[in-house]
Amino acid sequence: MTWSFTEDRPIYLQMQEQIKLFIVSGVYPAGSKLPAVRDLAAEAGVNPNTLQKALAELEREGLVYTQRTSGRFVTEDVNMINSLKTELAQEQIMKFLKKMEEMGFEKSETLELIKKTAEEMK
Amino acid sequence: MLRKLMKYDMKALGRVFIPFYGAFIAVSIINSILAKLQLALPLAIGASVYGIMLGGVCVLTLVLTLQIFRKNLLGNEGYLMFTLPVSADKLILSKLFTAFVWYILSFIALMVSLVVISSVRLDVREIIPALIRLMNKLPIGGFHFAMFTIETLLAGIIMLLGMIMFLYACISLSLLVSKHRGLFSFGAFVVISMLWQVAASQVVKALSKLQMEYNIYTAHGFMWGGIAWGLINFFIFYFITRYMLTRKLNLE
Amino acid sequence: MAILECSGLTKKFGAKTALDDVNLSVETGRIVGLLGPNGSGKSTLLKLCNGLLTPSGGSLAINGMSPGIGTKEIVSYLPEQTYLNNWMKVSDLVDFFGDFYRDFNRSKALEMLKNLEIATGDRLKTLSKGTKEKVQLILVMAREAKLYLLDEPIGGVDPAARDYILNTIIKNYNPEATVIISTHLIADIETVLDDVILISKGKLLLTSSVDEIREKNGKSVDAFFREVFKC
Repeated sequence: MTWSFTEDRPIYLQMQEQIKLFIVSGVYPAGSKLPAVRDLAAEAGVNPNTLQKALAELEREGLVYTQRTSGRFVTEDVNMINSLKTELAQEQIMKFLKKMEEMGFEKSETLELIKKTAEEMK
Repeated sequence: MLRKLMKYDMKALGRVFIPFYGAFIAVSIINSILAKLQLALPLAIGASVYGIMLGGVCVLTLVLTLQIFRKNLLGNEGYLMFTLPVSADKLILSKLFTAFVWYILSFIALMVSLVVISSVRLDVREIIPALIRLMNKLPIGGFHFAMFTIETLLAGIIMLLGMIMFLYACISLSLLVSKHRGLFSFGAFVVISMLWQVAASQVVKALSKLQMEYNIYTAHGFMWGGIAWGLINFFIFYFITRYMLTRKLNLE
Repeated sequence: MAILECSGLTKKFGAKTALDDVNLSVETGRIVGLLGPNGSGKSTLLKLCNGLLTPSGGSLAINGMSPGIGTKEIVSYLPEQTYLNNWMKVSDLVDFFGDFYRDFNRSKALEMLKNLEIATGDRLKTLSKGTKEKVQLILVMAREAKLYLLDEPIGGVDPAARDYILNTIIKNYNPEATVIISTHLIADIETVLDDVILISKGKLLLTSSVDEIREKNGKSVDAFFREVFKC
């Protein structure tokens, strides 16, 4: 599991996104226990305070919760995770569609191209 | 803390001295055997080797005690020593006492080798009675003799400590410059030695002006005067060293 | 209480001013980068914190104390050069640290040495430069100090060792301690830092958190630094 960060945005924001990605992709399944901040920070090569800040934000959003004696857990609300997954996917799709528009493709052309490429990928 | 520092300083010097002393004594033993067997050529070689090692012991003791002071406190190891939670005093005293011990041990090694070489039957049990007989022959009482022995011993110890401290001060003074520290230390050594000579001759001149009776008590007086002089020297050089190592410390 | 406070701190070497009127305050529980070009005064600042140099003007306090025996007990310092006695064995050095520092965690040191496959029976002078540096770092990090001062810990070290060093720093993190890392290799450690202190020509340029710099400038601290110090 490698974390990658870009240079231009605050790290705590990128950490939030990275963790969200891990949650929706099932690396951290619903209801599972997250590693301790220090271990997670060491694994990711990041500052523990910044990670704490990112996790606090996710907690505010309801994606993770803290059980006082046992640690931090991913929410059991599968629906929330699924809608987040959809949301993140749509973000990526919109970015992609915009990019294709910049290149001069019409939306229908783009859809055709996607189908064709997906077939070739099999 | 001082004891801990000394433990490591003693070890650092011991690793060089002990093998050297061992080799030195071994050479002495070999020489005395060769002498008994009267083998001329091997003895000639053996004797020159012994002579070289004899000089070696003296040089080694001087050089090593200075080297460890310079390297351990003013070299890269200074980063370790001066960030330890110990005072500069303890660091200096540890080096001083360690050097003192090895000077004495070198002297003993020399004596042992001389005894071995000369193959004199030296029965240690006879030394004390011999000294007592000598004492009784002298025109002074036993008390005075004992006092003089103590005074001489004290004076010797203070002189040795003072000399070591003087050398340490010369090395420490090199902190005043950033380059050519070795040269500066040597320069300091020369200059201070000359100043010391001048000061000493002034003291002697002043003393000779005093009209004094020369008796056993003034003799003691001289001894204690010498001891006081040694102490003053020691403290001057101690404070110079300490000042340099605390306020003028600058490790590269 | 701030673990480190500098007030008007100045250090001169003859005519040269290495540090000029530096005022800063570092809190506990932070991992701080001390950044600046070579010769900017970073090492001088660290040496002043250690008591290896005495200030020419101003003052500094570590945990409220002036540098001295009290601060040396709570400050763990890793200098840039190899500073350990070459003739000693690794195990001797572990004993040495244990003898003089009450906060030295012997088992932790031995564990870290084992992890890096460093034989404790080896004499320091037989080890490669990289291994010597790892030994030094392990001894420094095995202390449970309140302030760690690391002078260029990752310069001249291979990438795997660098990861291990950063990993150790993160794992070692505790809210009661602060780590100050002096380096010019910012890109490699930026994600590990909470805050940065930028120093140039002996003067304090800025103190800020890493995220603040990114938010304000839209670029990493590394890129920002390059811009600030463009030749």
